Amino acid sequence: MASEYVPILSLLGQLSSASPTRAWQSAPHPHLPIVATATSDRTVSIHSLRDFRILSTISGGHKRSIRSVAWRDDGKKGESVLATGSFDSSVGIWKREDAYTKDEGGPPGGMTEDDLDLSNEGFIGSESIRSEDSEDWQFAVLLTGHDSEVKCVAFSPSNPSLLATSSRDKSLWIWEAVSEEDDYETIAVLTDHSGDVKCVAWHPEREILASGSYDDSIRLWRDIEEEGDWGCIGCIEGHGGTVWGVTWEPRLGKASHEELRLASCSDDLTIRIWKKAAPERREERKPGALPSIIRPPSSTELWQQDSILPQMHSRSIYAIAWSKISGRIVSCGGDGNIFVYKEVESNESEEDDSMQGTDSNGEAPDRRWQVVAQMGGAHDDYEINHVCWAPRQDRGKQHDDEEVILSTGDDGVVRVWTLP
Amino acid sequence: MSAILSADDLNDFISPSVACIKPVETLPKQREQLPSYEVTTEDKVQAENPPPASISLTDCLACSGCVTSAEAVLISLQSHTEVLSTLDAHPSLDVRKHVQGSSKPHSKLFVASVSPQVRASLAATYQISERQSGYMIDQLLCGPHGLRSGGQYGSGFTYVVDTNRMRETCLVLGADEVAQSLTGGSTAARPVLTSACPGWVCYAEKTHPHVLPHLSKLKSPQALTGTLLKSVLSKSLGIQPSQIWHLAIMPCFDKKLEASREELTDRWWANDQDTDASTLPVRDVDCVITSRELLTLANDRGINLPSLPLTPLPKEYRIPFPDSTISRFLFPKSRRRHYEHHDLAQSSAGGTSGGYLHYILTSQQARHRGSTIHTQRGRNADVTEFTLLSSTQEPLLKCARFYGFRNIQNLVRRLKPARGSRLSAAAARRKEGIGTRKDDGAGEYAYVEVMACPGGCTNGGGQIRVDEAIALQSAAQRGRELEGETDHAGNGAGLSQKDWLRRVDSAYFSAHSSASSDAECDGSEINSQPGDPNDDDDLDPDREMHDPNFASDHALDPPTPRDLLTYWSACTCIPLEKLAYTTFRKVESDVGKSKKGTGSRPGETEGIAALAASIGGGW
Repeated sequence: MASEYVPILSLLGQLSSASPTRAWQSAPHPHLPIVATATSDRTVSIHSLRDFRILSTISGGHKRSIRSVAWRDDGKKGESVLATGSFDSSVGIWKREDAYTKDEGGPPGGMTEDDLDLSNEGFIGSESIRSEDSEDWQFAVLLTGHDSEVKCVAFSPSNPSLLATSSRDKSLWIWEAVSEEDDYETIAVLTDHSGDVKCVAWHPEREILASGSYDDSIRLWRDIEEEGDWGCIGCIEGHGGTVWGVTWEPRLGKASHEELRLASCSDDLTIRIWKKAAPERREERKPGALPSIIRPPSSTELWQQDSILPQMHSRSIYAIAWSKISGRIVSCGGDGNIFVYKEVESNESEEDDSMQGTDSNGEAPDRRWQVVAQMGGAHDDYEINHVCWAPRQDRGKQHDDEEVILSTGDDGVVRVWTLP
Repeated sequence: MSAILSADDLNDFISPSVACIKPVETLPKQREQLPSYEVTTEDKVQAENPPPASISLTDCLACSGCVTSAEAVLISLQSHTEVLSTLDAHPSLDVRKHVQGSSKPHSKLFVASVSPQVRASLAATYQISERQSGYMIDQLLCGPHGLRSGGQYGSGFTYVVDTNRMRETCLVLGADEVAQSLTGGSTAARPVLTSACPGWVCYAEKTHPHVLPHLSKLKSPQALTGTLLKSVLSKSLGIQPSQIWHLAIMPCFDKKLEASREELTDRWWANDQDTDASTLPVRDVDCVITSRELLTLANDRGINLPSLPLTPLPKEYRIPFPDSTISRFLFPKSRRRHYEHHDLAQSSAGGTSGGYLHYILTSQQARHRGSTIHTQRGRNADVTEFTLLSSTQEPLLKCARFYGFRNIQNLVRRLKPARGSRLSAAAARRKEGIGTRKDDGAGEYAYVEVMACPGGCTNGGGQIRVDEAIALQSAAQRGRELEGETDHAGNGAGLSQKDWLRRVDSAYFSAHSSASSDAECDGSEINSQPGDPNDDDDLDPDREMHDPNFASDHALDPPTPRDLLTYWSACTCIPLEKLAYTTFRKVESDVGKSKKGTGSRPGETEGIAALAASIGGGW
């Protein structure tokens, strides 16, 4: 692969906070051109994605490092809701009225070319949003119950009143917002994992949750009989180390009847794609054989490996993200590198075994993943804890579908990268 | 680069041993030499020759970190092997030959109590009736083909008591407690919460001390049965409580934790002059095993449970209970006369966990002519709200069932006092607004039946699981096929855990319907309670010797629960308050906090906690 030329990412900007301590994870707002970053100094920084300035610092809610942040996307404008998961075992829910909506006429998302002119009066430039205005963020609810550090929080995109949280206490909790009140109820406490639950990810369209754990497995969860009883519907074993990240395939061009795949990254230095196996026909009972007495309940889903991405990282892979715009996957990890992968038709490029992901079952030989971009030492000597995709929103934006990569590192900064 | 710090060992959950706050303590061996008021420092203790130290379950209750992880400790201290080794180490004390002071100090009186959920689990597993499964347990514990068939002394159990008997007194006292809380006549905070589930109590003590004032002060049926057996048997036989060994068979592992509570020992009820301060407290329940462990117990002795006779014990194995009044209560001759409460305890309306809420509701209903009970399912099958409506449909009383950890979360959150310290000023103002808007819900309940297990006690953690039951059933079926029988009915193949639970539940509830149907054919042999010594018309002449009331009391109707309690208190000279009630306490975890006072132990755990914190706890 050394011989193969892979283009590198270009640094577009850097989001810094006042006191740079380790930054864990960043979450771009679902509509607004802002990004929230969880840091180990017990705060969340909110930065503009237009000019990369810091807008607010949310502090005062947690006693220890904030490990994870997630935006609630209920399509409702006027208010932003942010969840924070902390090593102090609690989860905070924060609210803020969007100053943005006070500006009449601003298109939703604020992402069009025309909207760029508003950058000085709109949400970002608005006088009301300065870093000293962090009081606007109200700590609405404190969710307690986890026994140990909270590792990940995620709102369901298909039902934004559902919040999933995972913890070092090996459990995964699902909370539901109660009507209009600032209150959440616990609707499930899922304890099937035998290790720290590092990550959770909601299916983009259905109320299905995926989780990755220190026990090296990925589990899938849903309200099995839709009677309020959540349970594990599948366990994917295949990684040889901690599963640090899971992410669902975006629908993109895929037909609505097709099952979405799942990607995961691990301590075993691999990124794997999983797909749901077609329901198996019950094998005929061989004459003389004892009946198989323990049938898996009908709700159990079987998942199998679809493909494995080219192995690029030399240390733990901490995060991956699957672009909703381009379908590309980006990864980062302890080696300080960022790689971008693209799924291509097999005949699109020359055969090159060293770069080619392998298909596990040979059923779909016409697709494979290849590395299309990379960045070594993207945070200098520091580890990179998180990467994600975001629509490009700065003045240099060329077209609507342009995207950037946000990487979050131990150096406490978030770097914004454009693709070659 | 901090990659070296993300080494695997740091990612792991801190093992309980690291965070264990209960240091291995060495007790002063010669206690009597020390004045009782002297503060014993660790230095001093260690200066003497310390006896081998050990951590007991009672120690572990004080710590929040370990209990859930210390299942290995739990199982080794109270397990089927413990049962066998105790039986092997001690001959049974023969009550019939016993004259006060005559028995070998080495011998023990073995008694057992069995919960109805255990019988239901066995009944569903072996596809027998709940009654038959009671016989099976009796035959195992007391019968000639059971445990007595092995072991050094051929020891077996003398009495096997159904915990439903003392549950009846729990129900009556529990309804009193709620009635008092409604009239403001008690200190119990509204709503009163069930305290019979040890998993829930343990969780509340460690994690949510704010709910402790709400917990019912009543002992659980297991604990109450233990206190009754130890207090009455030691008094009437003139033996030490330590000579009575009480095994409880329960659907739940956490009952082991309950049994090891220091509040549930003879120290809490025995009259001072009867106790020897130099001896260790004696537990009311010495050992708890679960339904599943009962199978292992039989297996380890090479006893095939389904081959035991499913009939009452032979006459010679039915030992008369030394106190006839209590005997009639514990071993009622007829289900019909006695079962008015039993109906409630084990009926489907009462639920799977002993029927506390149902009894309270129906006793309140009896106070309001024409009132009806309205039932409303909550968010899931484990939350149900009950409203007692007056004849004019006015709500009189609300109760609820909250089963399972996830639902308990919502209950404790609702009971939490408003807090402001961690909220910013703005959020605190918001919160205030919410607080004044309406009562937050939990406060309006009069009673909440709280159980840690989803589905309640029939689904306890110690119950036989579906895969185990299927394996046992198919083994039995293969056995039958070898004998030429073809019986495929009721094979559990393909059962889901949910289907299985339904079977256990229906076995549990069937006891209620069979009790009702018994009423119609009273008098037949089948009505005898398992192990019922009074079943015998040919009354044992020895009994008169132990029971002065016997001659004058020919009416053999069992006493009512209230009469029993009065009688028990009178005959043991112990106030009911000491016998039937207990206390709960906040259990503080010291992990990560500086230990003021003890001083002598450098902060080893703090050091580790700090290290873990400094590296972000391994992410």
